[in-house]
Amino acid sequence: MSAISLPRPRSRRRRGEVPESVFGYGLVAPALLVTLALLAYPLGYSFWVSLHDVTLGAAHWRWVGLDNYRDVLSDPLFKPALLRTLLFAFAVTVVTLAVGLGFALLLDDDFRGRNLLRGILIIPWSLSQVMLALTFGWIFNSTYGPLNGLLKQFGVIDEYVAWFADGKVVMGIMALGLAWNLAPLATLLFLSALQTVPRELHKAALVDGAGPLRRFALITLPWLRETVLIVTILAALNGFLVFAPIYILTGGGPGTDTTLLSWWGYETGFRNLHLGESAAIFYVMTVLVGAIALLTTWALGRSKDA
Amino acid sequence: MREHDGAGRGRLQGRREFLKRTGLGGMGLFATGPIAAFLSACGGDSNGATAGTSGGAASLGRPLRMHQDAANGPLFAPFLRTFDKQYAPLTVEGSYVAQDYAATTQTQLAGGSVDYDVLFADEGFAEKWYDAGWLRGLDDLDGIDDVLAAMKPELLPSLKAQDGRTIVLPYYRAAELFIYNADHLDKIGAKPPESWDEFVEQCRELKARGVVSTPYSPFWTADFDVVWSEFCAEALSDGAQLFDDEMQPVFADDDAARATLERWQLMYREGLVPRDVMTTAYGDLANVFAGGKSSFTMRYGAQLKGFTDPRSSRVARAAKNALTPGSARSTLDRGAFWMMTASTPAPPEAWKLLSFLAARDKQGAFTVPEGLVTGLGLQTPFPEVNRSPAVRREWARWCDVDLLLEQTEKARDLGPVVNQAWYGEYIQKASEILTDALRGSKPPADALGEMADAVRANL
Repeated sequence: MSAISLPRPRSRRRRGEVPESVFGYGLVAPALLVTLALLAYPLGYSFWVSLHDVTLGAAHWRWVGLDNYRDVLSDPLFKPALLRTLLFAFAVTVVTLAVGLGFALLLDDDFRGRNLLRGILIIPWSLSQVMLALTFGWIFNSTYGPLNGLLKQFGVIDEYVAWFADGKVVMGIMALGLAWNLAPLATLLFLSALQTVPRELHKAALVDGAGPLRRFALITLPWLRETVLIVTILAALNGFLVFAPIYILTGGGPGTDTTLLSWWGYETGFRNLHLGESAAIFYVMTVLVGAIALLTTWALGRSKDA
Repeated sequence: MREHDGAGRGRLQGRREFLKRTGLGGMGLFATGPIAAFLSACGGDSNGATAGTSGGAASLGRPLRMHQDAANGPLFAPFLRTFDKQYAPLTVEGSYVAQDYAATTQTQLAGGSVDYDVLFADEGFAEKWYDAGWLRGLDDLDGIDDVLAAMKPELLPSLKAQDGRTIVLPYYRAAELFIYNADHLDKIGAKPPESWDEFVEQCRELKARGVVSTPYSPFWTADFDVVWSEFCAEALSDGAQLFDDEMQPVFADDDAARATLERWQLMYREGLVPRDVMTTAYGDLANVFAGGKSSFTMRYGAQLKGFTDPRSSRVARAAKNALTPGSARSTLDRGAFWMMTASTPAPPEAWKLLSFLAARDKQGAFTVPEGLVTGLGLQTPFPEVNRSPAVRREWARWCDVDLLLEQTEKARDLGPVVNQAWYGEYIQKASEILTDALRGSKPPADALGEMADAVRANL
């Protein structure tokens, strides 16, 4: 069975009517202009900084061209930090998508207390990343963390587990925390998209004998394609730029096990005052984030055309 | 049933298409946000909340400003009031930074929008800030020679910049102390260890007999890069040589330094220390010992004072100090510094505040150094203060004074290396290498070699 779609009427525009896309750009133009004005200068300036050897407080800047980029890319910390960043962003994205979509599907059904549940669901989203990190740090604390207490009471563990002893585990906990924080937003986005899925399609598929899984795969999911794109980009962006949990929970450690690109850039710029190199790290991140966004858009566009 | 029609879908697509296009640009802008924000912050206003003691005009037209870490700054309020009384009409107000003192302060200094006269910094910042033109030399100030003459002479090199000028005065000194839980040792019928081998055996026994599961809670935390101080303290206790007179690192070939790292690996491997010690926050780590969950730790007097305070410690009566184990029974003597900004409009007035904070008040008494010793459990660079009966009486409330003094006597500082422009960044790097190595990722000799190379790269 192939995906079912409704026939789409051709859009007809009356003479003299402003094209919809132009109208859309017109509506967002003021906000876009303010955003560009506030960010364009620092964006350009920081790129200029990345081409210099700049130490905060130094009287002179030394032009180094792309040397900062070369230094960053050849630094032994770069590859592991990049890999960790990619894995972290991937984990956050996957979990956010899965949890967000799962909750949205649950909340899409009519049941008693649905509105209350929707309200409660927003709570994690309302937490700042700082609060989130502190909360997760407390839950997973190896000495007095409630998780260890609970597991021990139920006989799952004999001794308290030092969750933060292993960099991979810490990364997992941080990814889980961030996804937990983002999932409500994803849920809301998916929920609003789900409510636009025509019931007729499901009914027709039901008549054709399609089960719930097939209906989900062939009707619901294709309908959510754009929402998936938005959630993917939001989650990946948050994953790439994660900072507060590292700052509060690990300081990039143990060793350098949780040193992601964002933390590395911060340490280089804020602590060690090597602004040129720090700017280069963040520009490398910018390129990566842009590439991933482009890739995601392209992949979703392809699947839509297929 | 929900409404839906093809035209509506068409409109939705248009908006989504637009979002997709603009989203890409937006993400690019977003990712460079941190550095943009950082650069903006460089020229921004002070982040530090100010808490004035009093206003009032003096010859510089405003109160003097003392810039401090919020953790300790408010404790200075009584001292600042004393200053106001003694030096009226001159007054002083405090400015405090709640988090990341050094990063915030140096960003503010670079921005140039702050008007601090006197400020503090930990080891590793003075030369960098002096080179950046944010600090002024102190040698031309009236009475500096008297202040320096009253100090332990071996400290003097660490107060100078590479150009030979004195740029800082000590805020406090502190020897890393070996701290143990006497009740725990009683349970295994042991006395404080005299060698590190004996220490490891005691740890094993304490664990095996179920007294505690993690007998040693070292401050191998990432906070403040304390792991480097701990490494230096333990290595020095066995007679290690860390830097020579030319500031060259000599620890790579030092047996005691290597033995320290080997012991750390062993302790970690055998689970004699908390497994997550490297990601535990400083305060939480202190609570491991204070909560009776470890038998040994190493930290300075201020921490021991906290451990012996029943309001913040469950082991208040059992927490004791002993000489560090090891062949030399030595330890690390470290500290923090006061300095004067180059931008202060009235150096003679700022000097009054600086010398008041670092040394004597107007009446010639060591009001602030003595206050820090008695109030916070710190030590001072002034033998005269350390010998004072009042100070000893105060120390006796929370430590074995004779052992404290003997330990202080045996303690060694790292010399001028601690104020080099690269030192702050270096100890961060060294801490990363140490924490990587102690988990067994590389042999101690390789780790020490890497640490030494990192020093040489800066020299």
